[in-house]
Amino acid sequence: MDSSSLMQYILTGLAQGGLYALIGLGFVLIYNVTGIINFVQGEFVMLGAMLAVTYERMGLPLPLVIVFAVVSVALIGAGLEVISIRPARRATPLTLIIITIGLSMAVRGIALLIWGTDPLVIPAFSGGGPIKILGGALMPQQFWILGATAVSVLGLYIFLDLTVMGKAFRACVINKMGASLMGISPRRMSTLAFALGAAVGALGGVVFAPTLASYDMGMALGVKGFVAAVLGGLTSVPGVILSGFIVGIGESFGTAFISSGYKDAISLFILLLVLLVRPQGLFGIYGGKRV
Amino acid sequence: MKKRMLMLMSVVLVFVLVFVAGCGSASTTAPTSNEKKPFVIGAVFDITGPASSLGIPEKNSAQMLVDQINKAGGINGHKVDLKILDDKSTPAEAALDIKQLIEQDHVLAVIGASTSGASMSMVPIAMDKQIPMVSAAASAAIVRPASDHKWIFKTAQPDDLVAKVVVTYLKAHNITSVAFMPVNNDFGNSGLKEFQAQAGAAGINIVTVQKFEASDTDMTAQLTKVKDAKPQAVIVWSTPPSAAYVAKSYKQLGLTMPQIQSHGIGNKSFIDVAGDAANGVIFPAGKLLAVDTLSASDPQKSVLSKYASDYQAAFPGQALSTFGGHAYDATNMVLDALKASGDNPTASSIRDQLEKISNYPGITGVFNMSPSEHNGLDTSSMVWIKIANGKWTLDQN
Amino acid sequence: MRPTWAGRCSSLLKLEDVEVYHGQSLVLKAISLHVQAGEIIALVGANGSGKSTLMGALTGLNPVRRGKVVFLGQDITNKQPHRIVASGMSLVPERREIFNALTVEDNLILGAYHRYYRDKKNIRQELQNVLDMFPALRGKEKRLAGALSGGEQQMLAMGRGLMSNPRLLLLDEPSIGLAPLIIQEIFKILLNLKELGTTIMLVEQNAQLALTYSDRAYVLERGELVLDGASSALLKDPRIEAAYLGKKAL
Ligand SMILES: Nc1ncnc2c1ncn2[C@@H]1O[C@H](COP(=O)(O)OP(=O)(O)OP(=O)(O)O)[C@@H](O)[C@H]1O
Ligand SMILES: [Mg+2]
Repeated sequence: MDSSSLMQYILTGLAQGGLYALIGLGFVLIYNVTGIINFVQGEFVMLGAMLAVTYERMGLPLPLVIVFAVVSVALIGAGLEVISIRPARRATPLTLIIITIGLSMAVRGIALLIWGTDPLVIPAFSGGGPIKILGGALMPQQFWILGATAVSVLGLYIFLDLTVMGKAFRACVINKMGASLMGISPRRMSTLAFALGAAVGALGGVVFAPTLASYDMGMALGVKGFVAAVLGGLTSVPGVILSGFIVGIGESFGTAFISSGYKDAISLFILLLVLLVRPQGLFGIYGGKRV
Repeated sequence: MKKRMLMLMSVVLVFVLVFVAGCGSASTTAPTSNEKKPFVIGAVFDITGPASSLGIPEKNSAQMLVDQINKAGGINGHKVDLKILDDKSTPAEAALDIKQLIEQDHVLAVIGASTSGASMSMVPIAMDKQIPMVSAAASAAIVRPASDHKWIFKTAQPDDLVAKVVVTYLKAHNITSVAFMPVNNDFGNSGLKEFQAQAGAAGINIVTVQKFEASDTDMTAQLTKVKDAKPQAVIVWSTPPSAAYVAKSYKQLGLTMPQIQSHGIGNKSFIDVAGDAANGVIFPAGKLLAVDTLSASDPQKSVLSKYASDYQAAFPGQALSTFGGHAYDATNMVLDALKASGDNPTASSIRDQLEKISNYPGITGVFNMSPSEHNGLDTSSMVWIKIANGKWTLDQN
Repeated sequence: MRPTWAGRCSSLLKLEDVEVYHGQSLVLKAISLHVQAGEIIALVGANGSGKSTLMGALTGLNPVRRGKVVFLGQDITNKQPHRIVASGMSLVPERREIFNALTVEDNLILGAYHRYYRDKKNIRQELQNVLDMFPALRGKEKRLAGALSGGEQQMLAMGRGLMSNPRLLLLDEPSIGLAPLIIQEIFKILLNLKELGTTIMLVEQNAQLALTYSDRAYVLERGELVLDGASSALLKDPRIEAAYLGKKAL
């Protein structure tokens, strides 16, 4: 194996990992505020991709396609929270997780009705051939994926660290009771968390749409995002981003040197290993929550 | 506030109900009110899941044919009742589906499934219940050896036949070292086995085998290994969408050696997903994809033209695919066997008729069945197709 | 003067037969009390008598099964906590519940969250007023709240409670775990607040302290109010002396 091949595995892993990180970020946002592992997350990605296809076919220009798809899915996320999670908020976390699994199946079913089973794609955001980096090659679209990850992290940083609403959101994460005593409504923050989680998931779906938009794509991507989130400790933004890349690169090397068949097994294996050695995840901290 | 929530909930409920109802009604046809008892036949296709790009044209083609027959008065005055089930692209569901068709619907014959894996899981059940089954899938193992597969037939070119076509092509182009990239399922693995069996004798060296999963969307890791192995050509044995992602990653890595794909990409979905990365790909396929450029003297010309125009009239906007053709042939054979069986067809009379098929021009090729051969196609059923400007063109070289 | 107006004006908070459960167990039984504007009310009782539960019931944290809570003439029974804060009642909870991972300044500003987007300008000024009131916090605005000392955290919790501009400030054991000097300081601030017109309801186990600084007091025993009256009188009440002030019964 020469160095350009090595570089290719790393680049492939990074591009894929960027997507996993983005999906994992949604898990982290929602988990922190609501304590729910939201298995609809993968479907938010699917909806983002599907709506991107729909808006693109309506002839909208690309920037509007992106914005509309992300905003639509954010609203859907908020709506789902209001109709299904909020009424059941006194239920146990396990029940809530089961609710989200049920929801994900319903969303998938509705998507099947609307968009059918054919895999769809939209044109790549920017044309041109592969871009060479140290002997490896990436398609321009993969830079869009990495860019979307960067934009999401930056956007979240601005929101969470620099705005008072974002700080109220974090207050809810740190101490729900304290927050409600300060006039912050945990219910509204839970809805906001779903909207934000849905939005970052949808953004992942939109930038992935030139590769694939299919009603059944959500589950597999959701699982990868979940692995990244848990690996990152479920509470930390830098943790989930780094973990996303670790999963992506692990997969890419696993495919090259073990077998593509074990690719999913590899990420789950990494997860189990980490959970055994560091149950709080690679970057999690016991007790103190942070976003 | 409460009211709004209730309304939203009911909207969702309605959606879910419509979905469930839709699923139910899609799989059955209304019973006819004819005085003669309808003939019930069953079909299992991969209507949803990763192989749905195969299953949907198959379902459409089978249904179209049965509708045509019923409109024309049925078979000897009997309407045909076609029960179609969706195996969701999984072998386990396919096995359950064929059980249901045989035990609950008492079908006389079963068509399907779409993929080799699903078909293989149906074979033992059809054998056990002694119900004729005509698969639309590729793997030769579905019907070979015929002595052990008395009740099983298939219409798609078997992969050993396709492998032979590919090996012939490679020899003609003096290609002696290839990389082989099968999708990691029954279709790809069986393609690999058949190709390996023939390549050695033809002096073709397989320098690397790189598998990928049907659900994968990025094959750059495998193709980087391929690149390092420096083959003269790459052979890909898969179906869309994964086959299309190989083409995309191929373009990403800037690989220039010939990319030979299999007959598994004979539907529009490959070109849709691969986009301009599809250009330059060549693959062996049934003649359907080149129906317009076929000479009038070809024995399949008239049946191909009729299928192409019927299908496009019945399903406007949906592209032709060779898979639809496999199911069309399978359905046609079963209907013809029913016709030849008189007023009281039985599973075994249909089986016997199927085995007698000879010189039978279908969409996939000219079939010659016999007790020792339950597919009955030869290499003349295939042509080489090249994708250029996002279109299939006959490749004369 | 119209009597209804006077009644409403003087009775800031009124509880009528309030009953609260934790799960199946009845924790507060038929609690009726009232708080007049401008006074410091003490609520004393032993561990587990239900003081914190009552604070939770007032602020919407614990559901009220029966009875009524009327604040500023409005029925606020079982309203959501964030609405109750907005209506002018703020609780500094027993465990302080500050936001450890946020800065002191952010903690204080979040105290005014319910009106932040309507009242941005004034809030900066009020932040300064609160810092004036708690000089110990000054200069530490950018520190993480979790890194403060216990006494500073209590002051932060109080300051944060004040940032909501409450008509009625509820304090649940502000003295707990603090050194006597700091307790002194905190109670001086309470008197100061009273001067400025804030009504205060004070929960304390330390009855001596509570009764010294308050105008009136209620005594809670196993979920029931057993005594009430002027604090100065209760200080000398033999039953109180026996049970809460560590003196032998006569
Ligand atoms: N969340 C809860 N679930 C069940 N029971 C509870 C809960 N919180 C309090 N209790 C019970 O309710 C009773 C009153 O508790 P509360 O905390 O109100 O007492 P307190 O007067 O504040 O005591 P302390 O002086 O120790 O703070 C106790 O018996 C306690 O065990
Ligand atoms: Mg208490």
